[in-house]
Amino acid sequence: MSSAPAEDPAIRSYFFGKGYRDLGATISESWQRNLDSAKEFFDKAPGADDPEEIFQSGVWVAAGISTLIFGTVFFVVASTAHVVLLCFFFLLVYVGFTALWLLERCYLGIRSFFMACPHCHERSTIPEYFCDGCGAIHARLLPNSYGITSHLCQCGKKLPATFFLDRGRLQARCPTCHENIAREHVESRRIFVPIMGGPSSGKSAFLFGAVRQLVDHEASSLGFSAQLFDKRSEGAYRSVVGLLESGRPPEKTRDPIPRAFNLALHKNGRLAFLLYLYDPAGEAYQEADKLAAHGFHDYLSGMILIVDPFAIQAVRSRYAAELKRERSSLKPSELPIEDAVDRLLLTLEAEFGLSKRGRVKQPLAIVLNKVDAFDLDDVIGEPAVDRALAAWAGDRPADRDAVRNSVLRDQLVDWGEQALVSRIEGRFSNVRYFSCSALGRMPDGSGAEFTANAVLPPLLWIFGHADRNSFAGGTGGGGT
Amino acid sequence: MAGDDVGEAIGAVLLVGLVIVAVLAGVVIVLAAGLLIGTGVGFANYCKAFQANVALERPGV
Repeated sequence: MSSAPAEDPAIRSYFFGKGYRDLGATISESWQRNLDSAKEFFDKAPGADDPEEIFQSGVWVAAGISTLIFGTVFFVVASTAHVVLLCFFFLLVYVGFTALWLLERCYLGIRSFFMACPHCHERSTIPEYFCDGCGAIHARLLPNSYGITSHLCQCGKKLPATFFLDRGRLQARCPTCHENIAREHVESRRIFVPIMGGPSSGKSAFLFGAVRQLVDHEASSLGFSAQLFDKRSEGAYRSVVGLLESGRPPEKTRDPIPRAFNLALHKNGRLAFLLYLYDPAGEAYQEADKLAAHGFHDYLSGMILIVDPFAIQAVRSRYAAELKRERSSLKPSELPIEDAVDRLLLTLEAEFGLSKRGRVKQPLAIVLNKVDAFDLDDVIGEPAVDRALAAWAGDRPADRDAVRNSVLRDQLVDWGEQALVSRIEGRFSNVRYFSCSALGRMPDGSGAEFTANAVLPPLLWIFGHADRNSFAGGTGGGGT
Repeated sequence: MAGDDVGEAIGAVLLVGLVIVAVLAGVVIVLAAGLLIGTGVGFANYCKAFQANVALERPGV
């Protein structure tokens, strides 16, 4: 079942292949038969030597000539009718499958259904499907010259060739990496969010902290029931949550090209959204060629950039003494944020069609992590937002999200990151700033449980852009 | 007499006409027979060739 298909194992429509071979053979044989029949008549003529047999000879010769003349006329008429009939059905089938193909493309396009491989991130119109009779791989199970609504496998099994006839019931695999993929990776509403940032910025803690809060509380308040989609996602979740519960931070992510972490959100018993959360190793942002393999940038719904404040020089200087003491538990990220952003933009330009001066339209959440460290909560956490709100002198009541956004942006500028802020806001058309503590407290080896704080708002803000109505009631608000 | 001459001429024309009609009838009969034989043979040959060569492709067929 894993070998690449040499050619489509379906039987091509009669009017697109065999019909013309049959036509050629029929014309050829019919012509030859006419010649043979005429020859047979001529051979039956006894000859002109005997006057008594002249009439008989004349009859056979006339029959031969008639066969040559009228037989050929009939042959031409019949062959023409055969060609016309074949072309008529060819056109009928062609128009039929083109119309159905267009209808399907439009329907799938409107519903944003396409194949996004959770393993290699390749985007494709449809996956390859296995015949449920013999396991043969049908690479293009679409309305085409192999059939309008169904394809006939060489094993005799009739396979649905369109979404409308439940093609998704067949087992599918990615055309690129050949990993089997579930139906929901093609036919569901999906939200794709990579969590980016340098090494040790807290991406994994952020991801699993957010998923944990979503699964335990927030999903139900939004009217969803959250479910880990597959065994791999469930295994990763249980493992990291186990670590967090025992007061240990998640282990370092090793894979620079991450598999998607999939979380299903059900509503009224039906799958409403399938979330794809990507957590690449921070080292991926140190080398542009590793970022190029992040194919999900081709179809992402939004991005989260986790910023370790301790990767900022001004913050390092401000907390130099404390850092010396807590370096091993705080693990400040060594990758300057500007470098991560620059490499991301270069990759988007080189591999994903972003023009040199173009702006990324998908929302970007800049999340300042580790607010639990020292007195950072007072600087970029909710107390800072509370102070700004108290000092608010505007005519209208202040919007807490907008105030937080302004406080964090201004703080980055104060820390000497004006260039970074300008670069981000110049290249991303929809940016919002957040702060959080992905672990909830500084690691201290006490074994007390880590509980993430304020990790959901950035995710819900991005989800709100994918579907404002479904995520409007979340703690993240509706976005900008 | 002039009346006899005219009658003779008409008779000759009629005779010639009759012969021409007979010949034409003969030709038409021969052509019709030829048409029947030729198209019949052509039809039979095309049918045989069609039956021998045209078949929808189906597994096991």
